[in-house]
Amino acid sequence: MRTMMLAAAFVALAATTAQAQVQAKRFSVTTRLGTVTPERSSSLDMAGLVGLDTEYSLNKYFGTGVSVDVTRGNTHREDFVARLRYGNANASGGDTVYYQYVGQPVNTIHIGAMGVARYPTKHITPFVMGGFGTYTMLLDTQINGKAAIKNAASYTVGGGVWIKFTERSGIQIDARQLTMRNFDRGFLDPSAGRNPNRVFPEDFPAVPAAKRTAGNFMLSLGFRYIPGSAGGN
Amino acid sequence: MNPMRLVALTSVALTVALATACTEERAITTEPVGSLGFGQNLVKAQSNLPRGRAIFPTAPIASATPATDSIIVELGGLDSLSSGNYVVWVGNDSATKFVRASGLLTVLRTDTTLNAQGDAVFSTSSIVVGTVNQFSTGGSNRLMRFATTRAAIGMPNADSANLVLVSLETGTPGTAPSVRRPLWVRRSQSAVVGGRVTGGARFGNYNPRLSSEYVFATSAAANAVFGPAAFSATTVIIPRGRIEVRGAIYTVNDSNYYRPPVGYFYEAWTIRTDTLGRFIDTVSLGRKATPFPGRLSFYDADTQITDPLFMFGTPTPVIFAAQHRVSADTIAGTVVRGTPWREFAFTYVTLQNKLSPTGRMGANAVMVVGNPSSVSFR
Repeated sequence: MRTMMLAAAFVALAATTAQAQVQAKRFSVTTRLGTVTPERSSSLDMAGLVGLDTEYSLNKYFGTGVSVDVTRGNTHREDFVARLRYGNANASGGDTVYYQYVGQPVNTIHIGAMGVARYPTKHITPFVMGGFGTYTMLLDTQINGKAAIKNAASYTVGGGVWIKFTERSGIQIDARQLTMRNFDRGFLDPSAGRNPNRVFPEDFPAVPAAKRTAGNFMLSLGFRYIPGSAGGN
Repeated sequence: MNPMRLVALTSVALTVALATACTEERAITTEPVGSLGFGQNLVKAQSNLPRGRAIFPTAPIASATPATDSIIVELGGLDSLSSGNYVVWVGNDSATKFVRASGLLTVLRTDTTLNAQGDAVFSTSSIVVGTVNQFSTGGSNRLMRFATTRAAIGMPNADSANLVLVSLETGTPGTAPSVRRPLWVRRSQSAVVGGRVTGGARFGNYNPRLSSEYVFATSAAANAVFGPAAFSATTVIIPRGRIEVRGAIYTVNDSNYYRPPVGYFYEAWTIRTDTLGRFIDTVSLGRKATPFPGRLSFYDADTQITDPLFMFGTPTPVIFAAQHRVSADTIAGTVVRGTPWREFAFTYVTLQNKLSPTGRMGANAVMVVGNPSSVSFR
């Protein structure tokens, strides 16, 4: 009910907007730079983000488009402890065990369709967006000893503002929450759980419980451009 | 903005983004952390467990001269007790009639020394304790000989002497043994040896029904059902595990232990030696407990299911996973010349009697291993 009321209020506000800042039936392109902060349970560290949004304005208030985000980060090494054993525990002298944090770089590509709702004013335009799509995680083949690619569905919600510089260009500041579905933290473990640390568990940082979804909070700053005609919102 | 400028600006932005995303740190995938661990696998020992034999009178009931119907019990592997006593009982086969026995106790002691040539020299001595109806003496190098007769213990002539049982008593014994009945000999399982009816003692939990008694062993099929009957009947429970020393932490990770007999529990020990291999310190590594994170003690595993996750099977559950863990930071004398656990050369897992002194390694070893040379420095 609360959501419905908020939506109604938004539409009412939009209807009173006198100054049209967005031209309907036009494309806009936004290149973005930012950071992505994964949910702790995903065992991924914060990473840099490069994104590209392409939007088609259905009218002054709504648009639709495609978003692409590319990140390259690292796994959280402390979550993947492996024991490397040398020697023979059955022979005199025993064995020697090296304890290692094992991490690896992770390339993630997210592609999604999105819808945008905005409230244009003369210089700034706040907006909210939401969408769904797919994400692909690509790991280093040499580290994993095989081609390691995972693909699953995702959805995004977020919002931000456009700040107009010229009729055709401006910047975009936005925050988004990308939720990866069917997330498998074990996929990120190069040792595939073969040599886990079960001997000294309390001597290493506690690992949060794994989840089947992974939230990723993305903050980005973008350059927005409307080719071919006036705009800039 | 014309399209060319847009393309150029976008290219610059992408280049900056890629430069930001790629740092030299990303090539590092592994990072050594903390101290090295030094490990060695435990070896099943099952040495010096409580054992013995009994010699019965020729006939189950009294002969014409009951004073000559001798009953002799010989016992080994008994730990000395700090509270409570061992009591010998004579009973009938169905364990409905018991007589507390009094008799002449003789303690045989065997000492081992090394002569000038380095050879082991064994010397035995005996002490006649006297006539007793209970005793607390024990030790890894002692054998007890308990001798009595039907007449001496006042057993009615018509009652059959088909069972000899050793119980652990914490107070004044009643008319029947306590629930701690770790050793017994049945006439029905005895044979005539040298003209005398002689039977070997069984160690575990006595039950009047032969099929329900629990015999402690580490190399026989378990008296427990885990799944299909055929699987359980042939499943041999052999304890196994390993020790690992990492920095100040000393762990024993092991599994597959028979439930301790009532009145017993498992404890691990490490022993420090001098340069001649002589034992100079014994440190308890604690009682057996469930693994992290529970660490629930198996002290009462003789009568309780401490944790059904790690102890299951019927009727005699098996301990399927356990761990001991101690830190040299909390135990005096374990940091030798700045190195934790230096010169600690052996690890033992023992079966401890609950009535024995705490903190003293008992006589009954179940697992043993010589520690890695990285730990023992030997």
